[in-house]
Amino acid sequence: MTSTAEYAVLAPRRVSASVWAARLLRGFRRRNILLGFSVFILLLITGTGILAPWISPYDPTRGKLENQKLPPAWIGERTATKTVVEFGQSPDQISISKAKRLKSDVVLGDRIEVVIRGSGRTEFLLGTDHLGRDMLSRIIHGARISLIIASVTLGVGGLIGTTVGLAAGYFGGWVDEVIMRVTDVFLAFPPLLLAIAIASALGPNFFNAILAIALTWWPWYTRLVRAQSLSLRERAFIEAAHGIGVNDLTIIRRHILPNVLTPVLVQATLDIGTAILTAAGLSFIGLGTQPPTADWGVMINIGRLFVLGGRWWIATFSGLAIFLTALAFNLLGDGVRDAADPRTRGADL
Amino acid sequence: MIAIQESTLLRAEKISMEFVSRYGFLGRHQHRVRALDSVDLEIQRGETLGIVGESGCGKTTLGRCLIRLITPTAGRIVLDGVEILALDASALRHLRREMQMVFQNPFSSLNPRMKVDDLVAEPLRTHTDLAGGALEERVEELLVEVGLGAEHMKRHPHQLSGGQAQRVALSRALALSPKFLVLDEPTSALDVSVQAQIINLLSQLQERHGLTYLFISHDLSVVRHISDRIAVMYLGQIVELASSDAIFNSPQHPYTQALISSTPVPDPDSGRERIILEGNVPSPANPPAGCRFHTRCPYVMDICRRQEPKAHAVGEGHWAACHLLDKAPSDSVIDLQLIN
Repeated sequence: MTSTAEYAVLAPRRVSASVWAARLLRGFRRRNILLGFSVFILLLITGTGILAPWISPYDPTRGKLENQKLPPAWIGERTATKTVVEFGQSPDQISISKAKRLKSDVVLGDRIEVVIRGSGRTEFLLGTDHLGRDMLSRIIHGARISLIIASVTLGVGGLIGTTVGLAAGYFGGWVDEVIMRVTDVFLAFPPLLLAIAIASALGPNFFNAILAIALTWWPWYTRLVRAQSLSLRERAFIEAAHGIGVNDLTIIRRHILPNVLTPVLVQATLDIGTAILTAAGLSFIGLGTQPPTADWGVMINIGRLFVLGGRWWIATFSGLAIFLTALAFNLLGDGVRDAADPRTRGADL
Repeated sequence: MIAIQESTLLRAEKISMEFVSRYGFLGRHQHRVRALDSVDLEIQRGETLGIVGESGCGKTTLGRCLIRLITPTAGRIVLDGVEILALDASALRHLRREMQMVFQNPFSSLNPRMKVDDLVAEPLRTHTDLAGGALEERVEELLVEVGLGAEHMKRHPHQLSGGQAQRVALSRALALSPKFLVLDEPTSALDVSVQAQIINLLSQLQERHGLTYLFISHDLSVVRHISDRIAVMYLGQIVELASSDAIFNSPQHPYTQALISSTPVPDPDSGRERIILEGNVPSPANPPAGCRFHTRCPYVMDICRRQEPKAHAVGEGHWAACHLLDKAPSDSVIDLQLIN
């Protein structure tokens, strides 16, 4: 989770959507390669996530056992010499029970030649997993799950956090005191640990994982929004609204909320990557999405069992997907933050 | 309830405002600042009462207290027969239509994200049922009233000049036809040429709508131009109150004299003596005993350090609080109630 960064309380002037786009574009030019890369990855991931049912070549949850553990398409059939041992642990070992199936008269310590199947075809581009399911289809559907988790957790967390933060910052006094002490309790735990605790208390499933992450997330937004509204509250236009006789809820809605939204959106963009990572983490340890759902965290968890056996592709590609998504969202978040921060914005606007 | 003359719009009695900030573990220590100390004031219908004084003397606090933007810690305020310190929050919001405030810097008192038409419509939306075309019509009418027009309606505050923005703030204040306006240095953030325009606009509006102004400023020449009466404040107290002319022609309090001598006169041969005050304004957190001005007064006497001076009537509707005026202590000390 990212720490609360400093933001200008208010853009000094009203910023229209086109100006925003221009700022982002200038940011792209400034850090051309990184931001271009991140936007490319994000478009790719969001696109595949949205279109998953139509573009994925196979059903992500059904496979044929005869296709199990096929390597990626570019690895063809080959032969290898393996040592016969009690239990095969590394790529150059084979267990005695398996070896006996190939050749009935082997004994421990023999070296035998084994034919390793390649997928040999472009049928399974990224290979298959232990149940013969197409890895590419699973990763495409995993993008969908990750995006749903990230948007729902940040939506729920941001909504709770913003509402509570507005109340704390605007009303102050004991309301502020109570709310801030509650957030302190949440912030006292490392976020992932708290999410693990909540998820395991609620029971491991997709919905509870989302709830657990949202519950660990809101205090950060509360802190951010509170700080913003605290300083906004002292501004003359709020006092002017009081002087006119506008009631508190209308002041919050009309004068404070629009002015805290920018930093909240920036923070949310920065947090998407972390939310995806946390969700994958929960799934990895079995507290999030459950098999057979195609979730990146679940796929790594299963895939790690086969890495030592030489089937590295099952865990690697889902890990790569998480890594690229989190990285791309963080880079985009940096870009958005720079675009929103008047100090890094440049003087030409 | 004390009988209040028909001509009096607002009467404030013994208004005190103490700001308390707590610090230390669990707020065990506190820091008290007395911004206003027992201020009495009466404002007549249709007049402009000027408030002058140095920065930090409490003039803005007084303005805010009189319309209860902040609630004073002690005292009574009666506006048009209504005791405004006794009102609950919703009754107070309702009464806001009677009393409005214009702030010093229009760019900070107007929400930068709202457009002019929304800004001017805000008071109307809050207190009336106007909507749609009727609302728009009224907004335009208000803008024309302050010298702006329909072409300004869709602009944001940053697209306006300082004078235009202050006009928008003024039209917001006028939207509900208030009786009483607190003008908190409405011209000091503006260029000199624009200042004059705003001052003239204020005078016109006052005439047209029979408004009553409390005009807060540290600019003596502006205050003299617009005010009927002037109150001089020092460290949270009013030290002298008189008609504009009397304040400028026969200031009685040494502080008033020093203030007036500090205004530049466009005549190199005026030969006027400047009174230069020594030292700084003492902190309102720890005001000096006796007369609050004694640390800087050129005429300081022994009694000034011990005893707070009483208000003395020195002319028709003119009083000052200074020991120099204690001619015969028994008969000259007057009851404030009688002067007003």
